[in-house]
Amino acid sequence: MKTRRLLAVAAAVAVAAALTSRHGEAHKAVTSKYTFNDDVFPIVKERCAPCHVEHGVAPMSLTTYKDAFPWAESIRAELIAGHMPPWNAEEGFGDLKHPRTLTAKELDVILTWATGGNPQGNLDETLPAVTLKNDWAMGPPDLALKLPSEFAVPADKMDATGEFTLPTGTKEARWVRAVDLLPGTPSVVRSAVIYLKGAAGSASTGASPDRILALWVPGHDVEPLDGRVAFRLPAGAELGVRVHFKKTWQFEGQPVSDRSTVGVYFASEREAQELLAVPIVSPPPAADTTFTFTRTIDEDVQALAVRPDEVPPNITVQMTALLPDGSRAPMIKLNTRPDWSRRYWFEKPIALPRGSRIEVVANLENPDILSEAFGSVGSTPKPAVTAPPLKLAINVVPAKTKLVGW
Amino acid sequence: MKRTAFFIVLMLSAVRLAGQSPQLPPLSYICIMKGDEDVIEDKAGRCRKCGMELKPIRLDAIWTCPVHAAVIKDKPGTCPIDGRDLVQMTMAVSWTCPNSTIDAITPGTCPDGSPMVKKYTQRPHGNHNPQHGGLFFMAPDNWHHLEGTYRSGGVFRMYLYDDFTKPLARDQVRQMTGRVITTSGESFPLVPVQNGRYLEAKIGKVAFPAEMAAKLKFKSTSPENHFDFTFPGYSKEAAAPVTTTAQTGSRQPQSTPSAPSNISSAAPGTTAVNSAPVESPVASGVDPGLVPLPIPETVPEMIAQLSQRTEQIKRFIDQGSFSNVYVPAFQAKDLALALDEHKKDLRPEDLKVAGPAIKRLVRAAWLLDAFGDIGNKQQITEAYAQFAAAVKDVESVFPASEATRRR
Repeated sequence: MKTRRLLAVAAAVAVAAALTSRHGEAHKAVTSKYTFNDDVFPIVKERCAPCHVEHGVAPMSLTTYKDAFPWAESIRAELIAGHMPPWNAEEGFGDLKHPRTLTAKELDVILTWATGGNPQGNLDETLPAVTLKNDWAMGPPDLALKLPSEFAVPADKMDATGEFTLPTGTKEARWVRAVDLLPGTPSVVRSAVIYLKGAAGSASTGASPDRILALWVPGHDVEPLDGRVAFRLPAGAELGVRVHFKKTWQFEGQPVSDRSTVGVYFASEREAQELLAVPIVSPPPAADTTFTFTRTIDEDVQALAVRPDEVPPNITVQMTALLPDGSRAPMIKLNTRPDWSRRYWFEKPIALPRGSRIEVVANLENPDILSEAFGSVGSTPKPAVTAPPLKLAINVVPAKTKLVGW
Repeated sequence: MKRTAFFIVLMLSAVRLAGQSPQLPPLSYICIMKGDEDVIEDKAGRCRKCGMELKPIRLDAIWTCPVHAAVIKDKPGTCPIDGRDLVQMTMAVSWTCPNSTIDAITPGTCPDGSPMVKKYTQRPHGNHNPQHGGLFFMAPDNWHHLEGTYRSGGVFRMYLYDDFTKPLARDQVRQMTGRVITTSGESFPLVPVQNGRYLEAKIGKVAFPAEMAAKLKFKSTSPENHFDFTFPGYSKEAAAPVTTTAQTGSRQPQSTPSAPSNISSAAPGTTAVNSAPVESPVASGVDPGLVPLPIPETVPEMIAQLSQRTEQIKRFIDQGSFSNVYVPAFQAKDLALALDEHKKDLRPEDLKVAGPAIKRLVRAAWLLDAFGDIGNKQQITEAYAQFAAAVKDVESVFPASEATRRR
C-alpha cells in the first residue's frame, strides 16, 4: 500500500510540476488580488465543502486557510484539468438541470489565488466554521433501509465494492419519486448504485421500466421526480445496492467500516407514469479513435435524463438527437471519469418523435490535453485503445405524459 | 517567476498610471533558508515552510544585456558590450557601501559620509532570456532551464542552466541523454560537446521556419522531457558569450565576467552601480505588451480587443515564443470576464452560448499560461485550439458594433 501511496503522491507531484512549470515551489510571490478570506472561502464553502470538509469523502478539507493553502497547487491542477468540480458534462452542449460547476468568475478567482501566492487576507478575521453535513437532502425518507450489515474495508486495502440486497417489505406496489443514500461513514462511501432486483423490462417497445433507481455520488443532492412520473416499486420488491468504498490517504493502513442507509421517498399520487429507459449500446468499438453509432426511437417519447452505464473513463461521448424534421437537438457531451457516474436530467424534456435517432459520437482517444503533461510524452503516438461496447441509457416517458415542474 | 515580473510591472504601472513617481520599488519578503531563496511574500512574517523570519527586499524589473548581467539599465536599449538588444530581468535591489557588508533596503549614507551604492542581485527565475540567441524554456521540474540554438552548420545546440540561468556544471550535462527529432521524423542523438559545456545534435539543414523537437532526460532515471523549437532563422551567438560555470547543485548566482568600466563587481551574483542611482520608475521602459490594459467600456471595443489578443497569442505560438503567450492570454481572459458582466443583455439563446464559452475561454487562458513555459508545442497548440473555439463562440453572440447591438 505504501507503494501505491508513493505512486499517488509521485503522480500528484508530476501533475503539479507539469502543470505549474515555474510554480513548483510551495512559496510564490503574492500576485493575487483575491484573498482566501474574502474571495475564495465563500466559493469553497458553497461549491466544495460538501466533500472537502473535515470527515468528508475528499482527501482534504479546504474550508480553512490552514487546510487549503498547502493544496493550492493541487487545486490549480484539478481546476485547469477540469476534473473539479466533478461534473463531467460539458457546459454549452445540451441543457442540464442543476449543473454542479463553477462560474467563470469563480474559476478565475480560485486559480488566481492558487497561483498568486495564496494570500490569506485579514489575519484577524475568523471565518465561520464549516462542518460536514451528512443528512437527508429531502428530509427523512418514507422508508429508511439500513444496509444489512457493516462493511469493512480492511487495513491493507484502499477500496472495495460491497453488494447488498435490501428487502423493502412493501405489501403493495408503490410509486417512488426519489431514492437516496445516507452514508454511515461519509469519508469512505465513494459512490453507489441502487437498483430494483429481479424486474424485467418490455423488449417490444425498446423502452422498458427503469431498474436503476439512483446513481449516488457524494455531495450532490438527489433530483426527485414530480410524482406524476415515478419509479414503480412492486410489492415485496428487493433493492440491490452496490457501494464503492474508497479510503483516502489519511486512512491508509487502517480498517474503515460503513453501514449506510437507503432512503425511499414515495409519491403521493395513486397513478403515475413509470420512468422508462431506452438503452443506447454501441457495437464493438471500431479501430478508429472516434466512432459514431445511433439508436432509433420507435415511439413518440420525451427524454428526461441520460446516464452513462458502462463507458470507459477519460473519453468523450457526445449525444445528439436527430429529429425526423432534420433538426438536431444536443443532449449531452461527457468527458467521462471513473467513479462519478450519475444521471443527468435535462432542463427541459426533449421531444423525440418516432423515428428520431440518438446519435452518439465517442472519442476513445483521450481528449484531455493535460494527459500530455502527465508523462512528457509530447507527440509520441498514443497506444491503440480497445474498449468494450459503450452502454448508455436515456430516460423517457411517452410523449402524451403531462409533466409538471419541467 | 514571470508572474512575479508581471506583478512588479503591474504595480509599477498602476502607480505610474496614478500619476505618482515612486522612488523605490515595493518591498517584498523572502525566506533566506538555503533552497528556499525564491520564497516571496508581500508582507512581513515567518516562512510558512520553515518558520524563519522573512527578510525584506525590493524587487525591480531592470534591463540588462542578454549575456552580460552586470550591465543594469532602467530602460530598453542596446548592450554597451556587444550591441545586442537589452532584455528585461527581475533583480533584488539594495544599497551598500564600499568594502563593507552593509546591505540596506533604502539608500543612505555610508560611515565615511559617501552615499550608498545601489546594488542588484539576481533572483531565481529572474532571467528567462536566451543567452546564446536561441529559444529559452524552463523544464517541468521548475529548476532546469535550457536554450536551443540552430546554427548555420545545421547543428542544434542545447545549453543547460539552473534556476538562476547559470550554466550547469559540465558533469551534470554529461549525465544527460536526449535526441532531436525533425519534422521528417528523423532522430538525431544529443551528445555532450566540449566535455559537457553543451549538447549538440548534427541534424543538417532544415528549411525555415525550422521546426524540431528535443527529447531530453536530465539523468538516465529521470523522465523524458519534450521541448518544441521553431527557429525563424539561424541563431546568432553574441560576440562574447558567458563562460562561467555554476557548481553542481548550486542555487547561488555567479558573477559575470568582463564588467564594463562604470560597473564594479560586488558579491557573487550582485552588481553595484557606481553611477547615479536610477530613480525613475523602471516601468517607463516596460514592454507595452506586459502592461495590463484597461478594460474598454463598450462591448464592441471589448470584442475588438479580444480578437487582437487572440491573434497575438497565435503569433507568439507560430513564432515559438511560448513563454510570452500568457500575457495576451490573461488580457483576453480579463476581457472575457468583463464581457461576462454584460451577458445579461443578450438574448436567451445567446446567453446559453455566452456563459459556457466565457468559462471555456477563462480555463483555456489558464491552460495557455500553464503550458506556455514548458515548450511543448502540441500541448500549447491544443490549448490554443480550445481558446480560439471559445473566442469564436463569444464573438458569435456579443455584438461587434453598437449597430448590431441594437438589432
